[in-house]
Amino acid sequence: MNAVEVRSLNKFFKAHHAVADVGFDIPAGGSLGIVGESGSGKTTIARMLVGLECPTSGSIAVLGRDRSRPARGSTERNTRAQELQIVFQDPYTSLDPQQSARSAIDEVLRHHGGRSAAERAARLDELVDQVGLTLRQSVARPRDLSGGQRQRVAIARALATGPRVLVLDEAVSALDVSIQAQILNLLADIRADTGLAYLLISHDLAVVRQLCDTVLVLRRGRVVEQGDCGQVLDNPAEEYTRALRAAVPVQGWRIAV
Amino acid sequence: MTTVPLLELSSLTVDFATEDGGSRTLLADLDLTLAPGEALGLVGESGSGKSMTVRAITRLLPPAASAGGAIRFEGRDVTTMDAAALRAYRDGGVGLVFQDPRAHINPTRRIGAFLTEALRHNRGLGKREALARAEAVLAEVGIDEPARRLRQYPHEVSGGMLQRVMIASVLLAEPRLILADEPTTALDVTIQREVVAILDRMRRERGMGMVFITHDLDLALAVCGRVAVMYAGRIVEIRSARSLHERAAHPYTLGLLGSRPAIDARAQRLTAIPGRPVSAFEAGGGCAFAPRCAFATPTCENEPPPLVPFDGGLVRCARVEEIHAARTNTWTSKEAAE
Repeated sequence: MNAVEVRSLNKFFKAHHAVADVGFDIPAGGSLGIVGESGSGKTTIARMLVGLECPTSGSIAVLGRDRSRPARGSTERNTRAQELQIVFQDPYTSLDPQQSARSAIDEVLRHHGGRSAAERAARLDELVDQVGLTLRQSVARPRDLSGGQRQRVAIARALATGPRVLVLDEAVSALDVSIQAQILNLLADIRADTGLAYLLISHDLAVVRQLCDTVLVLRRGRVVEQGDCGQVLDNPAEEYTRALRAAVPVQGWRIAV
Repeated sequence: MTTVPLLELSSLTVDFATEDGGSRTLLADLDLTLAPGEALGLVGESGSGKSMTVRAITRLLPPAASAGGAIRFEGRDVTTMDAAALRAYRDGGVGLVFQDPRAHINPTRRIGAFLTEALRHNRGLGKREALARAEAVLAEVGIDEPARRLRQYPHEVSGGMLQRVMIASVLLAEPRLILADEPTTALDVTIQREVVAILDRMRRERGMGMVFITHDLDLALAVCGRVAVMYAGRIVEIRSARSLHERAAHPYTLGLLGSRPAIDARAQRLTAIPGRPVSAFEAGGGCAFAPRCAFATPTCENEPPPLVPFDGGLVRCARVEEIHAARTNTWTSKEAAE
């Protein structure tokens, strides 16, 4: 069974067709990158998957269960939260400034419970360890943590529900290069260890290549091209993908005159 | 060479006064020389001091910060300029392009008013002539229908277009030096490419010098002739853009090159640098990079290394020769094994 199945997905904001007829699958343990520029609709897709926006038409299924309509009741909401979680670009605005990392993660563990206090404490230590936070960092407030450390907290918090799908919405874009590499390695390790499926939303083709098996190129809400990551990036079939690729500064890159 | 450098920073330091009466160093021992018409890249992560350098050059430091050392523009000391000289320096000497154009343009005034304000006030041009000149420069930076754009408000145009308007506004003042502080970071890659190409063409055509600040090493290499890598308020390596990929010698520069994922192949594992970037005031007495450096010895942690010539560039690392020898050896033995 696919972890995520999206079919003929459409979203209108008034007359603006933000997402137009988008469809994709992510197999269990797979990793799909959605790349596109500003206004391509990539974040709108992420928000519909999480349930922050309601699709105008089309279907979204995660682990075979439909979620194209809002959840009815808390049981359904909790189930959805245990299936799929999201990590946002800026952990500073998505974490509670008053709350330490441990407390933020523990809150999720309590809510998605069924664990004894001892089990919960053990799981908490495991999560903190899994994302590479030290004990001292885990009791600090977000403002006392660096961007990379905050993003580790956000990842641990997302993992706390035990999801099978993680949506990463520009989750490494705001980080310094040396920190970005650490988080990319961490995300690769987590996927290898847990078999989580990833949906990575990014404007950065190199980041997508590093983390994803398949890629979907989006422009003005429409799919330009999709397929195997290496294939699409090495031999783009579409002019737009070629332009996108050619615009990335790499070794020997010269500016067009 | 006897020509006067366009810009010369010697032993530039910037200290920040804290509320408890102490002081924090943000920039230290910065020595840089820029020839007329040269493009120099300043590359670094958070806290490296690259933006503070631009602020110091333009004397736009926050009130709590103070600069030491010398900043000379065409041989004249910027730190001691009086108000009139400073005004002239900022009007026709240096031009600034910022990361977020929307934060640096008055949203309630038309683009035409924004572009002609300095021409009319400082240069005494009439309205019609100023507008004609603005229109010509907008066309030069690749904007379609420039006359119509002059009548538009900033919110009516895209971010990429607005950044071109900002570049046009800088060009109108005909500066000898452009300071571009992450000018394309907020833009999409395809737009980034266009904006960078325009900056490059304008610089060449007009013989302007440019300091290009970015966190993207490969972008700096594409735009600049020479690149300075900064860490914790100090330059750790300067090298020609052409040779940096092959000859990078400082462990931090090597780390930066290894951290960035490649677009044409997936790395088994990125060679991430452990820890996080620090600011100058957080660093200890020795080499600021030592706590994150795989090659560091106890000496590195205690003695600050000087910036010394190495392999055609300048490198601030006490062990640079050993590290270079070790790397060359591994390569040779690898080649021999193959």
